[in-house]
Amino acid sequence: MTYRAAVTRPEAGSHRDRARGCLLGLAAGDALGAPAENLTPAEIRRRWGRLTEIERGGTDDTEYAIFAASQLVRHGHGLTSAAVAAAYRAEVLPRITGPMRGAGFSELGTVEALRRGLEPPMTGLVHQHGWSDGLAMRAAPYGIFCPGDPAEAARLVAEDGRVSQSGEGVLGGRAVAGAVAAAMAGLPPRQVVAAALSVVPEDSWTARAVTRAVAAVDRTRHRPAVQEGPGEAREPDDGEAALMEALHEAVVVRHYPWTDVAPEAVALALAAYLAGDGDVEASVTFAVSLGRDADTIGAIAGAVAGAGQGEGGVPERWAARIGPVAGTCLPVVAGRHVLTVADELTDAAARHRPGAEAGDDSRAAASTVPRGGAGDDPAPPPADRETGPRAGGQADGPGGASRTAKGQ
Amino acid sequence: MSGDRIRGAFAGLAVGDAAGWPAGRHRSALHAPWSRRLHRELDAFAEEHRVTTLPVPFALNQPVAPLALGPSDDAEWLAWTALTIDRPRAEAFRELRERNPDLRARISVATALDNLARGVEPPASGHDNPHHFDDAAAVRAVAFGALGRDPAEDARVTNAGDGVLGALAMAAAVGAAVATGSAGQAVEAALAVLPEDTAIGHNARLAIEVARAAGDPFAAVPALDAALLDHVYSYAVGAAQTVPVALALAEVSGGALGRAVPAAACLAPLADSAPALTGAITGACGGFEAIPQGWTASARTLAGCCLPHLAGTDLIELTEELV
Repeated sequence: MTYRAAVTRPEAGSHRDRARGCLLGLAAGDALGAPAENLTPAEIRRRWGRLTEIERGGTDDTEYAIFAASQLVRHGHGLTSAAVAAAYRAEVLPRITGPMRGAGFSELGTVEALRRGLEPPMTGLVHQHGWSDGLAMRAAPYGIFCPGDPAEAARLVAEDGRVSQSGEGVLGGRAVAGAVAAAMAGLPPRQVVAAALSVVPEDSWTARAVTRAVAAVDRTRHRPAVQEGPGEAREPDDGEAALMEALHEAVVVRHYPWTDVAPEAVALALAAYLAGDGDVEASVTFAVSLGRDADTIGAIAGAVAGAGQGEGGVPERWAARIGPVAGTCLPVVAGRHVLTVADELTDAAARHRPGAEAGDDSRAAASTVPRGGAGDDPAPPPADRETGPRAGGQADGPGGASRTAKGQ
Repeated sequence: MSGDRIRGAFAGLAVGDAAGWPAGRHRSALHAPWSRRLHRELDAFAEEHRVTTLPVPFALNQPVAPLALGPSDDAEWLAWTALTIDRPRAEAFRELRERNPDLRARISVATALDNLARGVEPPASGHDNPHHFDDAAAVRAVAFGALGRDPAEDARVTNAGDGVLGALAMAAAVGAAVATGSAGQAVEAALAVLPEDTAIGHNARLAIEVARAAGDPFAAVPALDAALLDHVYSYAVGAAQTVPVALALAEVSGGALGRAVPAAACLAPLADSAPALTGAITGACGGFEAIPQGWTASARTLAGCCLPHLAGTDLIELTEELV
């Protein structure tokens, strides 16, 4: 079933359109990349040629992004780490009756810290996975909420981030939120990546990794072509293979058994987005071909590209596979659909805009980049997408050997 | 400064290193690769057949010495640090890699060596590092602390954040123990360099609190496990766990190595390095002569399981030249 058939598509380039493109791109990248997680680029090539078709449902990336969005809708610009911690205590902890399926170490460590009575930022500091990409994977809603304002998006995502991450894990979230905020304003890929770098310190692992990855893209000067049609798996050409190798050489941590290192995942995702020149399909299929934490890399590339291209930029056949989430990782979000969440974020952004009622758009004036169409078109008629059948079934694969520890 | 206490810090670390169960695993690196492959296959056999206790480790047609009680990685890294302590630290690591392309090291050190090879210099070499928080630098800091020197430059090659703070704390604790022989003053000196708003600073104070409440090193083991250990993911060598445990057990034992080290070894997930760090502080408190002779005899000769060029080196003789 195609969920989008039931609703009117918002005006191209509007805030609502970009918000939908962003979360749809995130969910599609997550789902497309899920079977490629922890595989090498060579193994991915051997199995699929180029991985272009969604085989199963998304993972924790989509569910945690939906949870983050719900916090933003509730608290707006007043969101605090304490409020997010309270939400974990009220909505997440009581529903964990057995193993916490599909969660990464940073989330599991955070839950353990909350159970011990700790508060942020200690909840994100006291476990050792502070640098994980657990915040970067759920950072896109903050960019949606702050179109054209990377600094505010980064400030807000760091409030969320201090609950579960520390150091580079928070910076990875800031970079992704900043990139999405810039893409929501319709900026071209180079400026979007510049916006990501503008919200992290120059003297950081994240900045160094992104800079090295961008340099690798520039050196190979390769642009993956958009697929001509669905399912036409092909061998990546030499230039593309060389770029994959160069990106791994530039940012991948070799002597480490886990792949969910935020500086690495964020750098690979932004490099894929640049290599795909902002096109959703080209960026996401290249992102997941890099392996490592492929679902998160795909989700980030998809979110940034989707924000730039809007709902129409996400291939129809991918959008058709995105149903309500199963709630496998976070039962509290079971049944939620990313398009509904995108609409709620759009409405919330308009509602929470400082001075919105007085007509004083001071936040836009303070923006570092031009805003694009926040609070514009009216909501389309409500669809039945959140009660429809669920695409993909199990939200997670067999996880015994998963090196981001999702899927117990 | 007391030469006996400096020797005590070095020997205490080696004794603690030998006392922890992972020493045997590190030392098995001296056997042929097929013996470790057989170990993995037997592990799979045990899983499949639901049998619990395996006939490993073993030394079939191989030298049996690695199976004897003895020191492993931490004692070797300490010896290397002492031998190279006058070299600029990043240079020392580069030279080590050239000399020892097959060395075995913690993830922080392996990543830092890769970073140095890639042109990423300190402090980024230790910071852009997934295990920047481990205690590799804290182990090396025992040499700096015992000799009254600053461990920071060395620590920043391989670590950052809690990893560097762990090194500063260990150097401060060992330095104070060598100067005064007092575990209380050693712990006080360490806490002075551990900010409360860091994980290691938080855990150090918490560990001391629960150990004091338990009143005795062995009695403190379950309380330390409950309060400090990461039950989500066992990072054996996180400085925010191992250094606080060492400080707490040193204090609650009154600086008695023979009471503190066995308790540290009981915390199985931390047994790779917490006993070694505990041994370094308490060894310095009591001095070399207070360590049971049987333990120093077993722990002083390095195996070369991580740094092959140090095989056969006598750690105590090496220390004599520094004192």
